[in-house]
Amino acid sequence: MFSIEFEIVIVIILSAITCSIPGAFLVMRKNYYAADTTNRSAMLGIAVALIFSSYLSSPLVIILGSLTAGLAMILIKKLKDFTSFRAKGLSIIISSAFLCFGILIAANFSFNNTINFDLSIIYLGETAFTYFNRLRVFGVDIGSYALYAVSLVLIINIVIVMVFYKEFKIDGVDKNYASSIEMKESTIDYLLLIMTSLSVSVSFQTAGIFMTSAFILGPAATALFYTKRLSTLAFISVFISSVACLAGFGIAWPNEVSISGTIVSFIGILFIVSVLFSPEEGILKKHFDNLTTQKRLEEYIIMDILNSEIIDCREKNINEEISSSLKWKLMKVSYIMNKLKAENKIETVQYKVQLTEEGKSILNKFLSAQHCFH
Amino acid sequence: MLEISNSFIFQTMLKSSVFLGISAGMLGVFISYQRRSIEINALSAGSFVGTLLLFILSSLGLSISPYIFSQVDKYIYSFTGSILGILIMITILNILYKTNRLHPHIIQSLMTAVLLGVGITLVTSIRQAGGALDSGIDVYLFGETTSLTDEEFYFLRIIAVTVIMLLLLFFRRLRVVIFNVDIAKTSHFHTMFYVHLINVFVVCLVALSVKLMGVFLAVSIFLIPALTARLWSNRLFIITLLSGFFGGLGGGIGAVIAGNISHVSSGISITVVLSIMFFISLLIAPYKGLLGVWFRGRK
Amino acid sequence: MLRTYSSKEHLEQLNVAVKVENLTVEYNGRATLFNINLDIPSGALMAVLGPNNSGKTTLLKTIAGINKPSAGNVYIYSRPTHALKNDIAYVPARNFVNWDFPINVYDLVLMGSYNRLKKVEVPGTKDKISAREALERVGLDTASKKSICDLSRGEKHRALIARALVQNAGIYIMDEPMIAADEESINIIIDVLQELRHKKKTVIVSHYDFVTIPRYFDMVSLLNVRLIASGTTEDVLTEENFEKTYGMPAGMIKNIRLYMEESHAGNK
Repeated sequence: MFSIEFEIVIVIILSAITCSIPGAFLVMRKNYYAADTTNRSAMLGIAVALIFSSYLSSPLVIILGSLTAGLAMILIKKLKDFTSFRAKGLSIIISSAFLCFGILIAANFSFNNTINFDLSIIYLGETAFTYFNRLRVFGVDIGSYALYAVSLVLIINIVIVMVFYKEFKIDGVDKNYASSIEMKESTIDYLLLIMTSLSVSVSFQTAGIFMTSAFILGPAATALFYTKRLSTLAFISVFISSVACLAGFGIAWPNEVSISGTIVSFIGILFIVSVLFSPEEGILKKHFDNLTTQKRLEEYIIMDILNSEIIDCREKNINEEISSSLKWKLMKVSYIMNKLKAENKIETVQYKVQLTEEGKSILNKFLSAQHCFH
Repeated sequence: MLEISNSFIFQTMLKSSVFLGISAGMLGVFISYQRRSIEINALSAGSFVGTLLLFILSSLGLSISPYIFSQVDKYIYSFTGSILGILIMITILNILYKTNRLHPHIIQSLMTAVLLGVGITLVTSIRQAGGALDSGIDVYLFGETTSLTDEEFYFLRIIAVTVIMLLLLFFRRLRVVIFNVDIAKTSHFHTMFYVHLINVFVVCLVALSVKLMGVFLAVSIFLIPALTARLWSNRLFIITLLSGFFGGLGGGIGAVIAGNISHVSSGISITVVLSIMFFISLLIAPYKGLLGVWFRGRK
Repeated sequence: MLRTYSSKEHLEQLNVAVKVENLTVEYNGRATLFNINLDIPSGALMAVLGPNNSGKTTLLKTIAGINKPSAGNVYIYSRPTHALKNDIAYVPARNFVNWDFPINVYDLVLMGSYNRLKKVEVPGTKDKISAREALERVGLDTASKKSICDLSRGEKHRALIARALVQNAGIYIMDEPMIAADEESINIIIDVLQELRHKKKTVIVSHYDFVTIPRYFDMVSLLNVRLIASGTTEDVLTEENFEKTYGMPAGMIKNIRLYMEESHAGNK
């Protein structure tokens, strides 16, 4: 019914959105290794499923993929308790092991050869092919199978989030409060596990096994630089993933380059751009902020020195004395002193340099703001 | 049946895997205590992209020598590409760490996936443009020991032996630095020397490991032997030696398997062997393994 | 005035071991320490007191040379016989040490001798003897082959202090060495601190419990980003200073004052 491009793009966008939902929560929690691990571990399940079915969108693939991903996470948890190793290292081992076994199985035991199966599809993803697996209901072609699979998982994700929204919000905001009301942390863990495994299994056909990490973590991580509220975070993640998909697809499709690769590159570009230029949390802004606060701090330091009478404040060598005790360059000290004089914060009274009334009140305000209490 | 053939290529494969396994295993212990395992993923991805970029540049005519596609040239590009890619990756990561919003591990995972996407895009666009280099690129994903040329193998041996010797020579000081940097800084000089030394080792070995093991599995040759060794002993020196042993053993067996079964690339076989060793150790290691704990529970 | 000396005579005769001059340490736009001027006399047993996040750890680390000041400087006067530039032993806070590290107590303590050795030298007999002595001193000689992950909290503190003892430095800087430790460990640690004072070493300790300070320490510095006061425990621990440091209402402080006076009386 619709054009090829349109259908493919819809599938991609839906799978990107599906992934970014658990991503929004993972990014703020500690067990973010879920993204990487579920990726690779799902390979085992997918490979096993591929022995029996012939195309990547079949429900068997998705079910087995999610199962093995979940299995891997549970295994990691058990091992972590048993050996007291860090979870990250264990997750790398288990996920790599699952991945390798999966690849071995897929490469050697695939009995079904109806499609000329290039293994690279699995780990690179070839979105265009999703078009070719159509769903036929009563003989009517109502769209590619992938479309429905992805939509189903998307709905599941949204339902989970909405039903448990309270729990997610509490967990994301304040862990101490969560444990005090005896909300089980494992609830959230399991929910996230389910969401991530499902999203990964259903998206790997669009993104490939390895790049789903970018789909999961990327939009949420980028969105973190624009907001701190959970709901806004989710919306911005969805927006970013859609934009990246459209842009990536738009560039890749006419040039016949890997679609998933360009999309992920776009996510990366958006991420780096946000990190650098974000109006609130970006590096550039923070850099300039720090510079201004640094400069002001330097002024306060000199004002405090003049106020405390430790140094002999006669005007003659005051600059040299300050510069030698602070270990700053003489020019810097002179510059600041002149600036303070111009701003009427310091004055010279009877050959002594001291603070004006205005200077004193400004200094006191600053000092009282500096103390930190419980 | 498996044959340990005497062909020269096979010998090279075997030796290179063993050398890499020993040095990567030993270094891996230090890396795992510094909690830098995910970073290695990101560095491998950087190496991948770096090599690709250099290939592209070279095919655009910016080669050093007039023999554009000769063996020697290819090797220089691929190795320097890897190192450059890693260094650029380190710089980018350090800049990204400066924001304190995200945990460094998230940044590393994300950058791994992103760089992979970039790499794949480059690969497919090279294929599009009909570049003659595409046959060597697929190998990067999972590694193939036969991808090493003679010069690279020579290099690998030198680097691996140097790493092993220096790790053993400076062992006590490195141990302090890894344990607690603050104590190291106040208790002897040149702490930064050892930190930089470890970083240099990491860069070199990751570049080599990517060639042998592939982008995703490069981590496993550092990390899996280290964690396996930790199950067997409680002293860092023994752990380091054991980890080198496991790494070498895994590398050797993996290379033999990969050499004899055509479908399997070396990265996968080495990782499988190392994982099997890990799981066996989980069961039988006397100190921390399942059996040991069960046995002591019985008593 | 930020610099205060107690009026006791012997302090004037002692040299200054650590001189902190106009020290400001800034992190991410915020001042962790602001314009600190502090002279720590040689041989003093000084506590650094203040609420959480008041910069105690930063001050200790800057004196130890681990952090770099944004403004001002720290001057260390080593013992004249010692050739080393930084004659400082630093004991980090227990939470900042990785106790899962595969090392046993003996090797950890032996680490203290590394600053005397050249790059590739191995600890010799003398170093091993001093490690053994340090272990005995803190009561861990029977536990020397244990892994550090198997130690109790108090034993962990003691092990770190034993390592510092092996270093045989002139200045000892300790970050919260008694927090959450059992009574036996605290007594041992206090013994060690007193012994260090007898040996005329300078000891700077960050401590959390203002009640016990007059019992354990001679001098105290009150810190809350700025130095509120510094001097002997009697002079400095006044209600007014407390309020400036902790921002606590006077009522609570009065009770503490009573308690402290009782411990003063107990001391004398």
